[in-house]
Amino acid sequence: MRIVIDRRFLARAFGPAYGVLVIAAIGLSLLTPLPLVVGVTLAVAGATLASLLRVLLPRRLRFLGLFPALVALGVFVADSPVGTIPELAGGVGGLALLLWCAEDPDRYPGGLVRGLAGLAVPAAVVGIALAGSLLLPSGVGSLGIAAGLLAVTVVAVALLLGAPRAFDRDPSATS
Amino acid sequence: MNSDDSSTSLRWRPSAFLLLGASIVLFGTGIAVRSPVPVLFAFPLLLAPICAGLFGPHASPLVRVDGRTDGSGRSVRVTALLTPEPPVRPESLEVFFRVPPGVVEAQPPRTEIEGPSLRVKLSWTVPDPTVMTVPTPEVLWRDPLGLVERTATLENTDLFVERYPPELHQAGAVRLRRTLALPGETRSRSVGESGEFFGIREASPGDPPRRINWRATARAGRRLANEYALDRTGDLLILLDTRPTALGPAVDGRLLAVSRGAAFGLAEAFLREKSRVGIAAYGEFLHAVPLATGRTQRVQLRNLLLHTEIAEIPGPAERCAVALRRYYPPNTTTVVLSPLASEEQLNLVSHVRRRGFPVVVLSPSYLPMMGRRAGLSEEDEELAVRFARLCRREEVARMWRDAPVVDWDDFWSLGGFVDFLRRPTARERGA
Repeated sequence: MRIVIDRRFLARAFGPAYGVLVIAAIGLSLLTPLPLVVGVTLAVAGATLASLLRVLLPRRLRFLGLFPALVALGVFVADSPVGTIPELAGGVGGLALLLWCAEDPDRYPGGLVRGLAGLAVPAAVVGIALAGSLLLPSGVGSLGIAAGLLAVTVVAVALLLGAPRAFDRDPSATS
Repeated sequence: MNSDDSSTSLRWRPSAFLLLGASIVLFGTGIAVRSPVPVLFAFPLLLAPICAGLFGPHASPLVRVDGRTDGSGRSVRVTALLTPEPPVRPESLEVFFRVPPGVVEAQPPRTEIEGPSLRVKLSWTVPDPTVMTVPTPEVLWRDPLGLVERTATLENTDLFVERYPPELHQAGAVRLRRTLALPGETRSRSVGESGEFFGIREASPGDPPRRINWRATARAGRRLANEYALDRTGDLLILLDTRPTALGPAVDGRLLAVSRGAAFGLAEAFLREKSRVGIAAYGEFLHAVPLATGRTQRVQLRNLLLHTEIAEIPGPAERCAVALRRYYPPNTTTVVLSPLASEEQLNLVSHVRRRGFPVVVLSPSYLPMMGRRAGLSEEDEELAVRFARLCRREEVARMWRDAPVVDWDDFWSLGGFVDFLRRPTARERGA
């Protein structure tokens, strides 16, 4: 039996953002105490399975493709030691995952460039948080600040999820 | 233009909820393992949906949709050009076209960016002749990361698919019965090559010598040609029988779609020749567009056909015949489009004829639509098909006592029907 792989399918499933996600995941895995083979395999498998699921699942369920990537990256960040480099890698991993989200196979091609525009603000905030943590004494001080910021954000997101009209703005009478 | 407030407000997509849930879990993990790495990983995942909502359009974006339908025969190509109002970019739009029932998608939709617009190309196949509206697309704005979306407000005009057998283009040349006493009073609003003298115009290179007004040319010193007010040839009434039959809603619906296509093709052919055309649909009650000609009439006829559905309760044939006289003068040439699948449908023609309408029946056959019966062997199936053909032939033969009938089973060809219409009548033959 000869298996023929459709190039268009491969192009849809594995775009440039997949590569960015794989590199970020492998980078994170190298910082963890996990064995190299296990870490790299988990990183590649998580990103690949996520990309495949996103193409193969019915349109309504494609968001489930996020799960494998989230699990793989979640394992790495939970296992990472405390330090500036792992913190930076964690932030970059989150941004890489968002970039991968932008490369939706159902949308018009060019998700990587489009996604970079959407990442500007989250990347800036991660940068500020990292810079802030560098100035503080090492230990759990930065964790407290980050946790406080995160708690405020969680509350804000929860409120906004319940009131999507908060983003609406009525046109002015003279416009 | 749709502007329903609840449907156009910002919506969070499932991936946004998933990212939020994951970031809360990671936040808890960071606290539990006393490490800032999961917290910093979760930061962008939490912020991205909020940023998407904040930096996207704050109201439903306005999108202008210009479309056209092309193709011929069974093939339908729909091209839609979507232009969003700045600052919304065309690549942030998602367009969903619903495929109408009975239509097959030949190729998946193709999208391409063209300057400030998004061009969407659809390729469909219609199995039978039909007249239908292309459903309005659903257009969504999505943020670059695909986490939030809004339904766009559309500025669009309806697109129509009109497919009928090509032979109907020649049907307009058929001489129809006049319903007015004096032929000179039935003048068309258009000018053409024959009829009553209308006026003089500058001659064009293609004008034959007979059309040149030589006296006027000599007086003016330049070539002038005559124009004539065209005469209408007569009136046509197209009657659709939309009463339900024992064939079931699916087959009835498909037969009605075919009848719609034929009715529109016939109407268009005669309207082109400046004849007056009216269409009536009879289900439980009569819905009629009276006789008239012109572009407005074409639109009115198409609207009636688009809104015609199979009735839930069949009305009596006599009611149809009585109601017809309220809208149409007697002696109007009438084409009845009926599948002749029930006794009531067979009776309709005789009632209409008795009320003074000369009738020709075009009967779309239900035989090509009959599916294979379950549980029958090959031989029994063949026998059943033969019986069905015989029954159909008998129905058509019975109908011939009241009016000429054309049994229409190849839905993409109406050559036989047009030839039949163009045949000279007994009076024209001198009988």
